[in-house]
Amino acid sequence: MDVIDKNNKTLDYTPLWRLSLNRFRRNKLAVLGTIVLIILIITAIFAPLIVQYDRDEQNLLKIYQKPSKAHILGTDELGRDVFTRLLYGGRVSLSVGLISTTISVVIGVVLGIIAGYYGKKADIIIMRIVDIFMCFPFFVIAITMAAILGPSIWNVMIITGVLGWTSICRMVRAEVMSIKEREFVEAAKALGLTNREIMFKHILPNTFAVIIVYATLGIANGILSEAGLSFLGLGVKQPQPSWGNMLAAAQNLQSLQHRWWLWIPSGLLVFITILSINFVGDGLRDALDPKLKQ
Amino acid sequence: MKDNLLEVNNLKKYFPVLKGVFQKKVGDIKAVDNISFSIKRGEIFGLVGESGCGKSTTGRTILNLIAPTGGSVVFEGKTIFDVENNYEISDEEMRKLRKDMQIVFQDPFASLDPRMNVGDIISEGMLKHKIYNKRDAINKTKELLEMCGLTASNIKKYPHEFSGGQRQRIGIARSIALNPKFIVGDEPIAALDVSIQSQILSLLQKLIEELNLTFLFISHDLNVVRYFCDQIAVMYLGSFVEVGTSEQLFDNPIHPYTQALLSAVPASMPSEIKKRILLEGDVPSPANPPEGCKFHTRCPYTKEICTEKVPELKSVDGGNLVSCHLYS
Amino acid sequence: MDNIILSVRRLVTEFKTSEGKVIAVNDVSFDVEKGKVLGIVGESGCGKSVTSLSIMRLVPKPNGIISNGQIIFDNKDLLKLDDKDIRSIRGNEISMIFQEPMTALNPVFTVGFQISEALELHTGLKGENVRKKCIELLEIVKIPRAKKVIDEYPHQLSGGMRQRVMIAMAISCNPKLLIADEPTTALDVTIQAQILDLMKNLIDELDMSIIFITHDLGVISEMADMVVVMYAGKIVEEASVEKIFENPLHFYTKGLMNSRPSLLKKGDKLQCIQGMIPSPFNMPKGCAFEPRCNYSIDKCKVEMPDLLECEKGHKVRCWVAHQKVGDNHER
Repeated sequence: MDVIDKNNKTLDYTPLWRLSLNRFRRNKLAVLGTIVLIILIITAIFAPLIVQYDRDEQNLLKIYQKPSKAHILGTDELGRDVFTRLLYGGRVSLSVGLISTTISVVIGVVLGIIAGYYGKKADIIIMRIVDIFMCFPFFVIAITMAAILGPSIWNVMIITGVLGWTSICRMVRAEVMSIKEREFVEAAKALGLTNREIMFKHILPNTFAVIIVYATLGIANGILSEAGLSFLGLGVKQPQPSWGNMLAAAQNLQSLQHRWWLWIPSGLLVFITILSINFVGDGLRDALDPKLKQ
Repeated sequence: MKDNLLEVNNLKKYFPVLKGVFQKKVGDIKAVDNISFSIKRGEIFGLVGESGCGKSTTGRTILNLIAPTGGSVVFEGKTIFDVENNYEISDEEMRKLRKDMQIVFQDPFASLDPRMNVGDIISEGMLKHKIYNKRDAINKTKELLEMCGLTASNIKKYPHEFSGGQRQRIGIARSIALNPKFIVGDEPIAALDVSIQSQILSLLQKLIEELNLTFLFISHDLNVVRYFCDQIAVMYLGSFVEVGTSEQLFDNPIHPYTQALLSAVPASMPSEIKKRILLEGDVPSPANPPEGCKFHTRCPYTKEICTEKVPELKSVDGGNLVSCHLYS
Repeated sequence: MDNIILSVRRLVTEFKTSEGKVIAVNDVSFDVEKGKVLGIVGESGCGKSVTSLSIMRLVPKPNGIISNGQIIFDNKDLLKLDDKDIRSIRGNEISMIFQEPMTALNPVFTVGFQISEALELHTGLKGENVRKKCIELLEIVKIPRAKKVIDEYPHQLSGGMRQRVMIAMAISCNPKLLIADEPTTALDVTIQAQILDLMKNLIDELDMSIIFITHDLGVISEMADMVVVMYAGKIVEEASVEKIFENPLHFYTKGLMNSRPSLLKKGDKLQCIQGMIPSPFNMPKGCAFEPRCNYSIDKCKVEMPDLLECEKGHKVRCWVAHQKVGDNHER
């Protein structure tokens, strides 16, 4: 029968994920960012194994000590080891970034898909909500909310999560609007699938690339917000350390001028983390964007 | 009118033209404008026309993939919609009916979900309609792949691992997976290379014969339509200008547009000398089609009546149905 | 050899990709005669477009390299010219039209501006004269209301009109050679007929040569004088249009001819070429068409045949065809 493909070979293509990985690897900064982040995460997780002090172990005889062999980054106003607190603070900061991003991704993706897929009224309503949320001055709302709910690590996560879903919602909506015009969606409709099945089986998996990239960048945003709120004393409460509330040491003029080890390391860590995440985010965007495929 | 699988009556599909900040409707694009036809069981019905004439919209409106503006479609005695009588089949019933009517798309790259493997793509409908359980669905999928000229071992691969022709075979396998009675082929070979086109065409021929399918073949390629179809309708700006059997239409085209269209097809041999009717100008915009006969702006035989009255689709000498004032 | 305007000799064009080197054009030689139309036929990926880009020296850098060969135009080897000299030839003596006129035209400039750009650059015309010449050109390509169209933007024109504008731009400097890369593929049949008709007239009026690249055999049969059939980067058959259509020798050409439904009656069985073009990373050792050929002999698997003249003016790259000729000679 001559309708049968005689040699019946498929093309020798490399799998998509490998193409993406190769492209990611070629981006030096993204690779560097990944390595830095992995180190930061590992040290945060294994903090108790790395340092010999306890997180809240006070030693009033040794307050404001300069960096030395015993205390690599000195001690603070209660004689706690700064390096130890920095590592434990990493746990807080990174998990705030992660959890607040999860919250905003869930809200953003669900609303984005609904707006993009159904269009018309649903789209108008959701996009107006987005507009309203984007008008909110973030810090004013966050401070008010923190003041009402009281400062705590959970409140920080929820506040940043609930206020930060708008950009991902917009991106997902735009992506869904272009995907839903593709013929495979029509094919699914022709097969008799319901709207919900089409949205979650066909459209959602095709928006993963966008979601991953924006989630990565969202984590950076979360960490920054935490640092800001905690710096103002509205985020993570002492004695629990976070990079933000350690930065608050700089509010003391004495410390700012004479005790650099109290605030420079935490500031630097925030800076490095955000930079690394942004590098990784950019790398992922280039690696996952099918339009850049050669 | 015995044994018509599909009857389309006065089908209309208008797309609104929106303008301004408030998206006010300022007019309609009459993509499909009042067409009626029926397809007999086992027949291959061809729909030809130039781009933008509304042939794809016709196919999709019949399948109820886009909402109609007017008219009715009856499939196997069951009314799918009848806009004038305010009837539309329920979503649940429509979904059941989808088993029987499928579609093959033009673009083999956009029509397969890139995140699903071939097995999932083909078996999705079978599982949805609970025709098979999971294990049987896999076996059936393998069978379908073989039937469409691919090896069964491809089942775990992803669409991007295949060439355009192979992807089109996967798309065809998906469309026949539910044992449909009726398939709309929306330019199924237009995006493929010449040598692959003939492969896919003969695959479709084989399947139509073996599975006893009724087929609506939408194409702009007159040579393919002449060879492939039993009945052919020529569309211009959303309306039929001529309908006839493949032989009648090609041997004896009556409508001036059909004549021009056929004469414009390049000769198949250099020795063949074609007498060409060159049409003036371009197809007018469907948002603002000419009054009267839509073809009168390009027709070499325009009379006064053509600019005023829309001609009816009528049988000429008991043969082709033609919509032209020259023959009424 | 005076009547040959362009002579391509042993052209090799390669592309570097992340998965390795791809030879897109492999040892291609052909001549274009003055005032004649050379048709290049082949399916996607056969190297026909890359051949034309190589002639224009427009192969995308740095991944594409012309690694061998000569392109002799007007006694000059185009591959040896520096960038400045090639620019003075491009658009002036050799010009090109593309498949998709919308992407080839810049959407933010008027039609007139884009035509006059090339005119001013190559002819030195200025001011009112340029405009006059533009309108003249638009009239040559039979654009109605030329005086109005000149101030319109590309998106205001239909596909056929845009292609006419492209042709007007291409002929603005009276080129000796026009390369047309699938110029009618994106157009409807009735518009295609108009454009082909226009191009035929232009050949007579302007005395230029055309390289016409297409996958459509019907268009080739109407337009071309000489035909080159390409497959997987190589020329597999070369002959006059009559010979190619009446007596194709290569099985690929035969397959293409037979797979056209235009010659069949309803109910006839469609012939097809099985399989698909080989991957450029995994070329067969012998003849590139062998895996899809029904008539292959043992030799085809191991050795690539040369492009040899089997009849006068009819070259073919096929062992079976060569053998037949050999047999005839022995008898």
